[in-house]
Parts: sequence; C-alpha cells; structure tokens
Amino acid sequence: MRELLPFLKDLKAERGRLALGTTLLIVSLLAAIGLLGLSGWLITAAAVAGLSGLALEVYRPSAGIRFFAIARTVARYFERLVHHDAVLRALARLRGQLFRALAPVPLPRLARLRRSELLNRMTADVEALDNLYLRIVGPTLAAAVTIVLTVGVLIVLTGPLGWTVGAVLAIGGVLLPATAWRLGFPHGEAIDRHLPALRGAGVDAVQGLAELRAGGALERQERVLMRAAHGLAQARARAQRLTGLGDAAVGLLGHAALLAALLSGIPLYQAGEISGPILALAALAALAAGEALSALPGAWQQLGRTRAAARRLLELQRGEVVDEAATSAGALGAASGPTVRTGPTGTEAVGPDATATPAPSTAPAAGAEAGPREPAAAAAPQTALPIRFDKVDFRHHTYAEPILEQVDLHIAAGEQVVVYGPSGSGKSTLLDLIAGFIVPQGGTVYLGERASTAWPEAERFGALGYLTQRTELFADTVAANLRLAAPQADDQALWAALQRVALDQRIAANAAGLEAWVGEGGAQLSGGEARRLALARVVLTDAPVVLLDEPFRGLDDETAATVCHRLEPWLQGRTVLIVSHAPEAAPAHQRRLAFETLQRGSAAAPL
Amino acid sequence: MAVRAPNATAATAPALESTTERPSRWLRAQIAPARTAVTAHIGVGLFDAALIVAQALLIAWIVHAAIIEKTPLSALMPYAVALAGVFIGRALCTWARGAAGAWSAQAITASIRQRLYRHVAALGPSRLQRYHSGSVASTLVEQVEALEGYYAHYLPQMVLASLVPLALIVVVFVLDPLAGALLLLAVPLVPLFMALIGMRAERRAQAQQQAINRISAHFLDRLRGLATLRLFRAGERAAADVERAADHYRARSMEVLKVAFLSSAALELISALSIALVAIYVGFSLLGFLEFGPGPQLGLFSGLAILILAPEIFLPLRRFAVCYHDKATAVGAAKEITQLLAEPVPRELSAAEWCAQAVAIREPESGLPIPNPVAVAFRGVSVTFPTAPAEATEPADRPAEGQASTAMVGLRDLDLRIEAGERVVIRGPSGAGKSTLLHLAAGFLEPTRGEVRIGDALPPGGAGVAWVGQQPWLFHGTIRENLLLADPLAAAAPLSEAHGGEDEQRLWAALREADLEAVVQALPQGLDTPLGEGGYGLSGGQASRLALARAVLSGAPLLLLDEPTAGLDPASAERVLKALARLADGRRTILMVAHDAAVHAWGERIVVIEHGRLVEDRRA
Repeated sequence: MRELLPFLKDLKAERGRLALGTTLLIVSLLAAIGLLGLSGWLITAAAVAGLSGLALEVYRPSAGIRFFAIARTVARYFERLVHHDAVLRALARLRGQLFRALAPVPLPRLARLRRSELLNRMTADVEALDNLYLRIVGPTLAAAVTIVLTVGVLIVLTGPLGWTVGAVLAIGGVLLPATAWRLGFPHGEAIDRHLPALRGAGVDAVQGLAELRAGGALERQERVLMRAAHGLAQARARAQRLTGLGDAAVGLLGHAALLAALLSGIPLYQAGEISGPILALAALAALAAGEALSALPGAWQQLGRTRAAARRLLELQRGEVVDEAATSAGALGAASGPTVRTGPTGTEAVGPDATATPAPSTAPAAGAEAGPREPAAAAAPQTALPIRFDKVDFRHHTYAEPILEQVDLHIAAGEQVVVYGPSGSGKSTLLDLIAGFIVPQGGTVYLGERASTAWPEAERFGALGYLTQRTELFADTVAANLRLAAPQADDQALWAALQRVALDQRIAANAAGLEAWVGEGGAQLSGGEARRLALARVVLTDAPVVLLDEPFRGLDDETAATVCHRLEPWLQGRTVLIVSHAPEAAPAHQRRLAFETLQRGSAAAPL
Repeated sequence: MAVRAPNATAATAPALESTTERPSRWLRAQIAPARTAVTAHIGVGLFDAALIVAQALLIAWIVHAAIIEKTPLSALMPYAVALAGVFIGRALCTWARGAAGAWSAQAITASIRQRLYRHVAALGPSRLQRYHSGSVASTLVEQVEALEGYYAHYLPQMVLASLVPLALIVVVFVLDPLAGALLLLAVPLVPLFMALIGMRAERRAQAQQQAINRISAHFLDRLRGLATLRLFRAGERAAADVERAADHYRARSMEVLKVAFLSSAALELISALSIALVAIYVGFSLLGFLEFGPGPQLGLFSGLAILILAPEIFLPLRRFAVCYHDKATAVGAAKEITQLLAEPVPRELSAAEWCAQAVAIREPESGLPIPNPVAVAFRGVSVTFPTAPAEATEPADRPAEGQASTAMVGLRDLDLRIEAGERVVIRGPSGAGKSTLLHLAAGFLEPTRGEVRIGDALPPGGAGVAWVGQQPWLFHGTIRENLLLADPLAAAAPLSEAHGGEDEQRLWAALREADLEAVVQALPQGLDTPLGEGGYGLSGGQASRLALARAVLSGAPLLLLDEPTAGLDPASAERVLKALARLADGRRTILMVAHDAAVHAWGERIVVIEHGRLVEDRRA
C-alpha cells in the first residue's frame, strides 16, 4: 500500500473539497437509511395505533420522511459535483508533477522511453488513479462513518439488536472489500498482460497485411489474433464473474443484517424491551445500511490495478524506469538512425524524396530577389564556441555495426561546416553527440573547453540552437511553438524569424496569423512548412552554436534557396554544423566534409 | 477460383446497405451468437424480480405476525428460513447475471472481431491505404473491446428496466390499488426521464470522456516532445502549461456535468419522493385518516410489503441509467466498425486460396524450396481510383515528412508481358503508378479494365507471391517466428509446435541466402531473439534482408519488391542488392520498383512508367 501514500498525500491540497464531498456522501447515505427506517416506523406505528385506537402524532414523522427524501437527492447531486471537481483538479496537478519528475531523466533514456509504449501506458496510469479517491477512499470512508452512525443510533434505540446488526455489518464490511481486493489482484494483472498482446496482434494484422497475404499466413494471424482476444476475454470474464460474486455477497450482507435485526429484535419486542415501530425501523435501517457498502467490492477489486499504476508512476518519478529494451537482446538505438517500423509509431526513416536532385547554386538568384526584404542584421550572438571530436566511437547497440570509429573533428569558433553523405548513413549522430542526446562509447566530444557531457544540461542547451532530424511541433498555436525558444519574444520578433525561413506569408495568409493552431505534430502544416517553423524556432534561440539536421528537407529548390540565403546573415559569427545529403546547396565559404571519410576517422584532417 | 468482373463491387451492394444502417440497430442485430446467453441473462433478471416479491411479502409477514399477531419467534422460524433461502437465491441471481453478461459479451465480440479481421484481410493493403493504418488496427482491437459493456450490461438492463418495474407495480396494485395507482403515476414520468437521461447521459459521458481524452492527449503530446522542450529549456514552462491545460478542460467539463448530473438527480428524486408518498399514504390509511378508497382495508402486512417494494421499482431504472455510458461508447465504436465493414470487397478470399501452393521440389540439403518461375502479363490494363470520401481520410495521418505520399495512382491501357524468370526494374517519377502495377501483380488490387495474368491464372490475391515492401513489416515475435510466417511447411503446423532440426537447418539456409546468417549468429539468442517494440531493433537493411529470407522460404515463384533499398545507406543497399542477386537465379520472376541508379544497373530489363502509361521498355 505504500505506493499509494504519495498520491494520497497529493490529494491533501484538495482536502477541503474532498472532505465536503465525502460529508455530502455520508449525508445522502444517512438520508436513504433514514427514509426507509422512518417510513417503516411510521407505517408500523400507524398500524399499531390504528388497531388500538390511540392517537399518533404523524406530522413530524411525515415531514421527516419528506426531508430525508429531498436531502438524499440534493446531497447526492452536490456530492458528485464536488468529488468530480476535486479529482479532476488533483489529476491536473499530478500530471504537472509527473512532468517535472520526468524532466531530469537522462536524454538517451528519454529517447528509448519515447519509442516504447511506456508513455502511452503512463497516460493511462494517471487516469487509473482517479479510481483511488472517487471509487475507493471516499466511498469506503463514507460507508464506515455511515455504518458506525447508524449502528450507534440502533444501539441507543434497541441495545442488543444494534450490537448484532453492527457485528454483521462490521464483519462483512471488512471482509468483503478485503476479499475482493485479494481475489481481484491477479485478474487486473492478467488484463494488463493480455491487452498489449492483443494490440500487437491487431497492429501486425493491419500493418503486415501485404506480408501476411503474400506468405499465405492470414489464417495463422487470425489464430494469433483470436487467441490473444480470447485470452483477454477470459481474463475479463473472470474479473466480471468476480464482480458479480462481490455484488451478490454485498446484497447478501444487507439481507443478513435485516435477518439478524428481525431474529434478535422479535424476542426483544415480545419481552417488551422495544416497541413494534422501533423493530420495523431497525430492520429496514439495517437493510438500507447494507446498501452503503454496495459499491465497495467492485471498487476494491480494482485496487490491484490502481496500485500497479501507482507503482509504475512512482518508478518513473524516481527514475527507476524499467527499460524494457535493455532487458532483451539488445538495447534499441537512441534518437537517430534508420530503424524499421515495428509499431504504430513509425520512425522517421528518410524516404525517397530526401534523395531528390541537388539544389542549384543559390547565391546569385536568391540574392537579387531577397535583398530588400533582408531582416535587420542579427544581434551579435554570445561568444561562439569551438567544437571538437576526439577519437569518438559510437554504435547504436552492442551488436550493431559501428557508425563512428575514432572520429576526430575540429570546428573552430565561428566556423561553418557542412557534413554531407547519403541519407540514413548516421550523420545525425554527430549532432546528437554534441547535444548530449547520446553518449559515445569511446572518446570525447568537446563543446568549448568542456566535454559536452560535463556541461550542466541547461547551460549546454542554452548555448545550442539545434534543429533535430525529427520535426517536433506541439499541438498548440504557431506563436506558442515559436515562443518555446524565446518566451519573451514579441510578435515582431516572431514575424522576423518567420520571414527568415520564408514562412511569414504562409502564416499571414491564415486569418488567425500567429494564433493559428498547428495541430498534433504539426498536422495542419505540410512537411516542408513544419520543417521551416521548427527552423524559425531555432533562429529565435540566438544561440552561439547552431546544429542543423537536413534544414531544407521537404522544401522545393526555390524555397530552399531563399531560406538558405536569408539564413546566411544570421549564421555569421556562430559556430555552425549542418548535416545534409545535398552539399551543393551550401554557400561556398562553408567547409564541406564527406561523412564517409569522416566516419572512419582517418581522412578528416583537423584544422 | 471465382472470376472477377470489373463490376464485381456492384454484387456486394446489398451487404453494403445492411452494414451502414444505424449503429444501434446494427448493435442489436449482432446478438445472434449469444442469443441464449442474453435470454438467460434477462430470464435470471425476471426470476430475481419474482424473488424480490417473495422477499417483500416474507419480511412484511414476519413483522406483521410478530407485532400484530404476537406470534412467537419459534413459530416464525420457517418463514425466516424461507427468507434466508430467498436471500441466497437473490445472491445467486446477481452472480448468474454477471456470468451471463461476461459470457454473451465474449461470444459476441469474438464473432465481430473475426468477421472484421476477415473483412480487413479480404480488403487487402491496397484498399486500406486511404485509412490510417493505426485507426484500422484500433478498430480491430479497441473499438471491438468497447462493445463489451453494451452486451454485458446495457442491452439486458434495458429490457429489465422496462419489464421489472411494471411487474412490481402489478403486485403493489394487488396489495393496494391506490398505492399501485400512485406508483403508476410516477411511471409516465419515467419514460420522460429516460429520454432525458438518454440525451443527458450521453452528453455527460461524452463531455467527461472528451475532457479526459484532451487532457491526456495534451499531456502525451508534451511528454513525447520532452527532449525538444528541454532543448529549448522550456521544461518547467511546459509543466505549468500541462497543469493549466488540464485545469482548463476540467473547468469546461464541470460546466457540462453540472447540468448532466441533474438528470440522475431527477430520477433519484422521483424514486425518493415515491417512497415518501407511499409511506405517508400507508401510514395515514392505517390510522384511519383516509375514509375513501381501499385505505381502510390496508394492514401492516400489505403496507410494509408496499414500502419494501417501492424502492425496488426504481432500482432497475437507476441501474439502467448507470450503464447508459456503455451504450454511448458502443455506438461510437459501432460507427467505426460498420464504416470499415461497409468498404466493399470484390470477392471473398476462400481459405483454399489463402494457403500458398504446396512446394513439391526442395533442395535435398538445405530443405529450401525450388520455385517454378511464372510469366506475368498485363493486357490492356487500366485502373482508376474513386476519390476517397472525406470521412475515410484521417487528417491526423500525415505521412512522415520527407516521405513519398502513399496514395495510389491509376494506370492507363498498359500492355506488358514479363517472361518467366526475368528480373525487371520498374522506373518512373513519383506518382507515375509504379506501385499500382506491383499491387496488381500481387492481386491486392483488380484492374478496372483489362486483365492481369500470372502464368495462365488470375493473380492469387497475394498468396504464392513474395512481397518485400519499402519498410518490411516485422511481426511481434522472434526472428524464427518472423521467418516461419511465410513458410508453407510451418503454415500447416500449429503455432506452438516444437521446431525440429530440419526446420532449423532450413531457416539458417534461408538466412545465408539473404546474407543475414552472421548477424543472427552474433545475437545471444540467435533465431529466438525477439523483434519489435522492446526487442532487438534490426537496421533497415537487415530488415529488408530478413524479408528476402522470408521470400526464399516461401518458395514463391514471383518476387515483388517495392523500393527495397529506399532510405538505406549505400553500403546497406549494396548488401541487399547482392543478396537479391543470389535469388535472381532464373527460378523466380522478379519485379522491382526502384529509384536508385545502382538498382537500375541490376535489372536485366527496365520498364519506365510515366503518368500511368508505359513509356519505355528496354533490355539492359
């Protein structure tokens, strides 16, 4: 249970709302018991009075009945509102906390996390936690208080009858949730285990359909799919039967309380110790009190899953992420490099378009056209830093072929270098190594005087403007995506950056302008537009070291030339490393290196 | 084999109509495989109602006898025992309903999923191209799962919610017509509120789900981009942003919930007030305040029985309201499922066609099959694609940047004959129709006009063809499982069967052919290395070679390759081509779509296609 404590502590901030909600729940449960009990009392008292011809004061009891009827409904309504509000608030804060906790995870591991299903599962786990208060803690607390109060009243009114009913409810009230929890645990786990298997089989069936049909393996895949589905259905059915059993048992508990009230109450009545109406009241109140427990077995049955979710989230928070990739044959590679699609989230292997015809020489044509619109000279960047690779070795995983072997490379402060080579050969690893996204197996990468890995992350990233291989835009507005790089930038600065990447007219054409929604992963923009937006974001960093990975991918030649030309003044004075499959597009003053010669160490003569 | 006329799709039109009807009707029509279980579920619910009546009468009788008749407890024991029996019976009913619900849901969803899978399989990769592959997989998995609650809870509860209250009111009516009439007055309110609940509950469920989905999507979006956020030192800002967005969606969903909770509150209020009114009415009658109607005849027995029955009349309705979101979820899922099922299939693939043709001849040493090459002929082939309906194209499915669009392009009057054993490279600019040609040869697609022949038969719908796509799909499982997938010898064997030495030998031989032997040997788990998510990641070139090994094992006489070297570095591409050259030994007919100049040199015949027409055909 320890794993739940931190999350229960998190709920403290909402304790006012939660206390109110739980109080309202208790009021509504008590009102339901009062309604049935008082009704039983009234009917019995009336029957007795009617027979004996005695007068009975009926107005106060009937007013009480009406009060209970209305109080039950009103309390329940507000209880729901208050509880939902509190839990949604708590979950909002939990997401923020988790996000902060994940922030310091080492970057190479983050890249692996991103590939695995872990992030999806984590999102589901956070949702599973709303179960904790809304269905388990709150109702259990409310049921306990309600039953104690009800039994207390019964003891005052009837003595031994109250004790008997109390004993039945207390034993059942503890045993049932505890049993449901213990029995439910393996079922929840089984469902969690079978679901990914079914999902995998489903994805295989659709993504691998051509292979399946060609291989005559459709029936085999059908068996795999249906078997996974059957396994999951069996696990669900077992869990559902258990829920049914819990419901049956909790119903039986209320009935047992009623029977206990009758069997212990009738002798008391006949001995003259309690009155007939009180006997009826006690019996019906006992029946209604059992209902306070009705939701508990089902909720406690889920506790196992809630705990598992809490445990996984805590592990993530503490950084003890179980790296599934590392536990099997070999760890998956880090952020870059072509890998085969193996899941719903494809990697970004470079397609045939990337190997398109090289861009023509850019300077003269673009110069004449873009001259007047040249943005104001870029502000002088911080002191430029040199970059140095010293005998660097890198491979994605132990069994992979090495990508870099004994690589030496020196880029002087303020120098501009283009590394070219065919798509998919691993040029991006150079940039990822400088940024510290991946760590070399041998040798050192220096940024300035310090090894890249020795820099505090914030300082290192403060010195870098890095356009990564993957265009990463967020489901937000254009402005919000740009301001990631420069939170204080005004609209004018954003437009200037957009102008530099020749995207200003496209954005201005939209009525919403900078406030236009980019959509998930930049879905509202074309690939080339998304690329340029990401480039504009790098421009806004104003960093002394600029790393650009295929900056013109997805751009037609003309646009690429324009962007290249407009970017030129901004690049002046910064240390620049560009990797590209088309070196012809690079201005003449940039030093060009072939990745193939650089890769094996020998030919890259340092300056 | 069924002959396909160009208008074959028209023949399936009636099936199309039957699957595009309203989702709720479609959902009801699916109970066929579990009619018994659903009927049993409802039957048990009705039996439970009978037990409720017995329970109310027994409790009322015991209290009445004890208080009014002063019967001693010992004389009441038989009634108490009977009551205990009724209680146990009710517990059994509750348990049985849960079990019946699970049973029917399982049977129905299994049948739907199987049908859906077969439909998807028959549609084939060409027709599914306009769907987001992730969305089809999610329909097959998550959407079918989403139907469970409908059959396990909603459907039986809907029947019970309309039958049980009426049956109980009849009993009350017999006990006291005026009390019965009073409760019957509440009944007209019930359909009214049911409709209200119907709309409100749906909206509530949707609003809540939407809020949660949005919060989660936002969270996941920022989480996935965490490296980028850190790169811009925006991690802390983003965390605050995540909180702010979650809080924003909370506030919005609370607005909706405020109204939506009212409907269940109204139902509860009717229930509570009915109990209160019945109690007060019965009380006043017993006191003799009411001189009219049947009141004076009312005793403690009938009064108590009515009081105990009153809440039970409303309980099925409240339960129904609780499981209403099951319906909302199921209807949403059914829309996705029926949309996919409505996609016309030209002809059903029969099981016999699915099995690859038996390979008779094998190399004695390696056990590898020796295929018999076939000729491929395109005669006056034209293909036109209907423009996709807007809802079928997922806007979120933007192909990864830099990648060619996968949309299929038509062909016009293509005549081409490829001889048995030839290796042909198909060239042409993007969007010329090269992939369409390949899909036609595989039989994933049928020509709108003209005909395609493999040997002297129609294309086999995929089977008997070796297919190596741009990004070969690796299945969840081990290298061994991925290889055996295409092996006709393994297809017949059950999945779990132990693999003998003969299998082992054949697999290694295939890996050798594909130049993968050394790579797999270096892996600590060898053939049993798991691939895919969380497993070993093969590089692009290695995956292509694994696909070639699959092709070798399949013994297919026709090998179709769609840009097998795209996106590979030159060294990897060279290895793939080298491995491919070993397969081009005249025993297979090879058709390859390619851009690279290196590949063009490899072909012995080059076919160039532009704008859906054949513009050049020359031998190297």
